[in-house]
Amino acid sequence: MKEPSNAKSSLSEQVFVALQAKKALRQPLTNTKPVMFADIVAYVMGKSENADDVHQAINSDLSKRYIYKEVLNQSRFAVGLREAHAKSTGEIELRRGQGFTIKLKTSRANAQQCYVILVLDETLLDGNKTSQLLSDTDKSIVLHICGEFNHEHRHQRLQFPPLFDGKSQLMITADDERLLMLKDINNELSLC
Amino acid sequence: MTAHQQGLNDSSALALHGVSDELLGMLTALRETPSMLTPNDKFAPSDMNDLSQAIICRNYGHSCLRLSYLLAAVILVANGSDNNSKRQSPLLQVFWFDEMVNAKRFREFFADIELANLVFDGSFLKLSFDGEAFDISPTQVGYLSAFLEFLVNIIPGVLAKAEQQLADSSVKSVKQFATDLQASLYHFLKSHLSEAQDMRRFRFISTWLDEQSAADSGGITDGTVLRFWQQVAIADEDGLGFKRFRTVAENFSSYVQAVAIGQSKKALNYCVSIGYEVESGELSPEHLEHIISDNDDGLDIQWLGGNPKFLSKQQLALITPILHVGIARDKLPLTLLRASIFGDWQAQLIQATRNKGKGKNSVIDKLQQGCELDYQQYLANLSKLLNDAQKVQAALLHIFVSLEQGEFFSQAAFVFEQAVLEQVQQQLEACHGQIEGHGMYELAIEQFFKQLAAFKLQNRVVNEQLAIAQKAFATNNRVGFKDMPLVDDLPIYRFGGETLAHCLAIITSFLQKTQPIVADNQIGNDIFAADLAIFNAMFNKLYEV
Repeated sequence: MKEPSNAKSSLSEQVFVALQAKKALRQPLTNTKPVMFADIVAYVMGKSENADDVHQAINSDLSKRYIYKEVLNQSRFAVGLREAHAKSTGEIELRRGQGFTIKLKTSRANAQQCYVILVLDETLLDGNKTSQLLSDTDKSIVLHICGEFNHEHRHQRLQFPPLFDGKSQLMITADDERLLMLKDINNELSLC
Repeated sequence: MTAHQQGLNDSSALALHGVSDELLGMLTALRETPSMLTPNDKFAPSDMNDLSQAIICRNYGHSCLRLSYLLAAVILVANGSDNNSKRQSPLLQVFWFDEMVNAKRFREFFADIELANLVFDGSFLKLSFDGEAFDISPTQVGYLSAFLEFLVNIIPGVLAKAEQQLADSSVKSVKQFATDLQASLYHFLKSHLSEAQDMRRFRFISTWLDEQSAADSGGITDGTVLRFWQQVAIADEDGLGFKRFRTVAENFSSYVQAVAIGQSKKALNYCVSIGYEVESGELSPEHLEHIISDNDDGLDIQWLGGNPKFLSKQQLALITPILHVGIARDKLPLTLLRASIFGDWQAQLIQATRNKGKGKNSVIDKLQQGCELDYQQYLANLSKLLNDAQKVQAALLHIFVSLEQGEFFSQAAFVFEQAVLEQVQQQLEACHGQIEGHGMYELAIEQFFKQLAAFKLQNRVVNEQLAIAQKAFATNNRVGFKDMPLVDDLPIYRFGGETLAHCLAIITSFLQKTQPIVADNQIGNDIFAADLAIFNAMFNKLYEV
């Protein structure tokens, strides 16, 4: 490396380097975007660009989780509450919500893959507001799964393709955390 | 750079002073909020500029009221229509899913709506709640929705609160909601902006300096501060506290610091080039280094008066003001002197005026008594303190050497002359060399203390110095120095020695600055006589005798 030509330039270099370091230290506060209300709204509606950041923030920041729950409560059109009955044997293959059903089917071709099939009931489709919402063929449906594990909040979301004939389906791998959460009857489901 | 430009520059630097990084980050994030309906940002840049300005200048009172009316109107319309299911929040629907952020969408939303107390006539939304009229222009909606977006991020549950509180469309609830918003905002900004009163004082100083800038462009000097006080103290009706010279001095010193920090923040943000062309706007590296290092100077030294007692209460009171003024110490040395000496006098006068029982006579007495010290006496006190503190350092040295601790070497650096220090270091090196295989320094230190007696015999100066240290310890009767402390208690002694050394360095440099100005000669005496006359006249005017 070239020697600095004189003491002055070496000092200015030092200060420049120090300032850069100082700036870098502060970066998380200023330059990384904090997760804002609008991000959470977009996340709930399945439009988020920074989904991972939002997911992280909701899991770790109490005020963000509060906003998430509030927004979710106010924007879901159907809900599947925690199921109270006990099912002792076998895997859950069906979750029923108020106005919808979710079926879980292991693929015949590959046991490691599982279909998640969402079926909306006639009653829900007849509803004034929701039918208008659902007749929009571009609108994808977002399923939020919220629950607790070891007293810690957990949530996941699944984004279904637009409905066709009141149905939509997608495929995920058998060890996907979203699938495991779906199978846990203690978790609450919301459709947005 | 002209004086006027300099003024503008300082003023914009001042705007950044005291704004927390979190708040700045939030404003930036709001600016970049993506729209869910279009590929652009949700809010227009001009609306965001207005919002940032309103928040940072704490000018949001009326916005809260306008927003409350707008929300009440939206809730009124949404509750009136059937096609909204009750489960969904109308505010969430309107401002987030439908993104009512510009005049066009506002017009679409309110078009064709005619209710008893809400009419949109194409140019204004006319509300009349309880007979009171309020108009909202569609062009305001961009700013107001950005304001709402800001609020939902800092006030949890504000949307639900609004929907509850504003549902009855009464003036009372709208005003109450606006007041609640203001209170929450005020509470939030408390920890993210500097105090409004501080800001007012800074603005006042900044404006005054702007007016003066035609006359002098040499920056802020001791003369500026004195002139400011003379002009402003008499006319201080705003209750900004500029009657007290000490307040003026403190504010100027914070002002100088605030501008400097604001400028360095701006420099970071806009990558001002660092260099020596000050005229063309470059920042010199020394200046930056100075600001950054002085920034953390809010050194807490009061514990030095505890147990062990390194300094007495009076000594702490004497040096605390000097340690607390940061860069102003170098820029405004005379102001600091004046604040110390005449500030005490003024404090006594204020006390006397409050003491109504004794009436005016006690004020006159105090005025005639004059101030207790002149500059040279004050500086002599400081020098004496330096001397005493140096003895404390020597006593500390004795403690470390008696207990054979490695701290001896760092403490020696504060006590010994350079030449003596070098001899000690050579001896340590020699001990290090004696250890087989150049082992650890701990062993070398052990070796050093083993050979210390012999070393002292060979080296007369070191012997003398250590004898002085021993005497300093023996004559020190303060708490913590009466008996030899335990080895376990040593950390606080070491830390005390370091802090003391830091303080002494600052005071020494302050003495070096001020002593030449007020030296014991004709000029020095004249300065004090002139200041005394000025302060005497001012006090006479201020306290109306």
